[in-house]
Amino acid sequence: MDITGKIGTKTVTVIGNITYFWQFCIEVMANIFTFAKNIRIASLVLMRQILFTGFDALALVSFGGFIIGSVIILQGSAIFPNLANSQLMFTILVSVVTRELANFIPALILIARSGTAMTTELGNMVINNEVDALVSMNISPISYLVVPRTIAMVFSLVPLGIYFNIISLFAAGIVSQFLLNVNLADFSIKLFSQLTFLDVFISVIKSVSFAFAIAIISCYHGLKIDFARTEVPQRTSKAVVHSISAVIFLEILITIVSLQY
Amino acid sequence: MGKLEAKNITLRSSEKIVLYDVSVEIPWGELTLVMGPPDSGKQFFIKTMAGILIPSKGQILYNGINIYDGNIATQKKHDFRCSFVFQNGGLLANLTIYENLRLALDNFFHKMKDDEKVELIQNYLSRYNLPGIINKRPSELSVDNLKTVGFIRALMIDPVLLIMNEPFSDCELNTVDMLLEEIGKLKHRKLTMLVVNQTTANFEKIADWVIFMEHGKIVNKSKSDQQGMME
Repeated sequence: MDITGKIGTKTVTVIGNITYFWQFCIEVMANIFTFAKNIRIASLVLMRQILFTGFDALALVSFGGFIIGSVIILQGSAIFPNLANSQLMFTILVSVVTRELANFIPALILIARSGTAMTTELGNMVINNEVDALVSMNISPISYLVVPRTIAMVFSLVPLGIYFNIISLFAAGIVSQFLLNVNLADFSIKLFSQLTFLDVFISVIKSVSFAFAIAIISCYHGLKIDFARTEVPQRTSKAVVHSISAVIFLEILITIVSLQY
Repeated sequence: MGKLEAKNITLRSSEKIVLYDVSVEIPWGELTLVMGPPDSGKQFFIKTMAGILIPSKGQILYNGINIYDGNIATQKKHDFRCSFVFQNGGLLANLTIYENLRLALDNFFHKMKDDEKVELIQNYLSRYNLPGIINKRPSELSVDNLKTVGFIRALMIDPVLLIMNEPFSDCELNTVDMLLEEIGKLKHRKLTMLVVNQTTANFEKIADWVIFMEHGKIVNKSKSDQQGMME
């Protein structure tokens, strides 16, 4: 095949994959609205996924939140020697932690922990005929496997984002008090004077968008595995790359839109 | 009585055609054995008959109705329940045996009470001498037990069509005897069965029809006694 033919074939394959992915997204979204009908059979999957994706990630998110909050305030103190009187420091703290990192860092943690687990688990299920078994019992793999994982990701990432935010800001306050001698009460008053409802709202919107992107991309790659076990690690790394790319894209998009308000 | 037929089925898998314009009627209330060399398309054929794979062309007709039209309500409306016994059991690895069996019941019998479902599962497991495995996961079971549980799951939904993929492969003799006896009982009840097996071994006495496939096509369908099954 000549170079033109190869480019043509590749283009057709890419367009086909994109079309298939969007059909998959639409089917997942449609099944989310009818999830209540399937709750009888899918509730166990949902509970297990929330436990694994949300609860089990608390320790890692706490650690990340504490480190980020501490580092920002320590770096800030080098730039703003008179930290207690610097409004700009608190503005930066809210902008960086609440608006950006409180969603981004937990999203990266969940891609690494849960996204990879989803792709691997679903891929192995395909290979072991478990997905075929579901279809043979008239159970839609989308409604039984993908939708509970997507909902669990949303119900995990939103609280984890809020939790990360609290831990980070709390860590910033603690570090300010003990290392920089800034009164915690003063710190809190100045911090909350900078924090608006819009900041929290944007943070939640980002968490929800990231959760959908991570879950759908991870499940898509898991179910795309055909026959060979060697496909599982390949698809898992693809899922990670695509999830991170999607999260960065959404991060930029929502930030640009939110800056208009 | 029903009438089940594959009509002009063409199936693609990974850009390759694996079933070529297959048309065949599956004799109702009888056991049909599907045979053929490796890569002859028999696995694809039975998965298409079970509605697991959707053909790119053609239909599976049950009493003249396209039974896998993408709407599960069509199967419910025509009281069509197909069960599939997988070669490896096809049990969900992250569920216990109870949860695996319960999943099938929950999906098919919405009105059945919880305690009735528990009792039914216990009865089935006792009947097949497996009461101790109810809380185990599939990875803890032997191949024989995995196959037996897969068989139980298929029977529990009271199917009108039972499709089995290599039901005896890697099984010990006593399990083969037990499953054969159960298949014999199902045959006596006139359950329609479609079985893929590499050889005619174990099916000499119970198969009614033999379908032979090659290169994604059915090359022969005959009464089992006409095939000369022991050859």
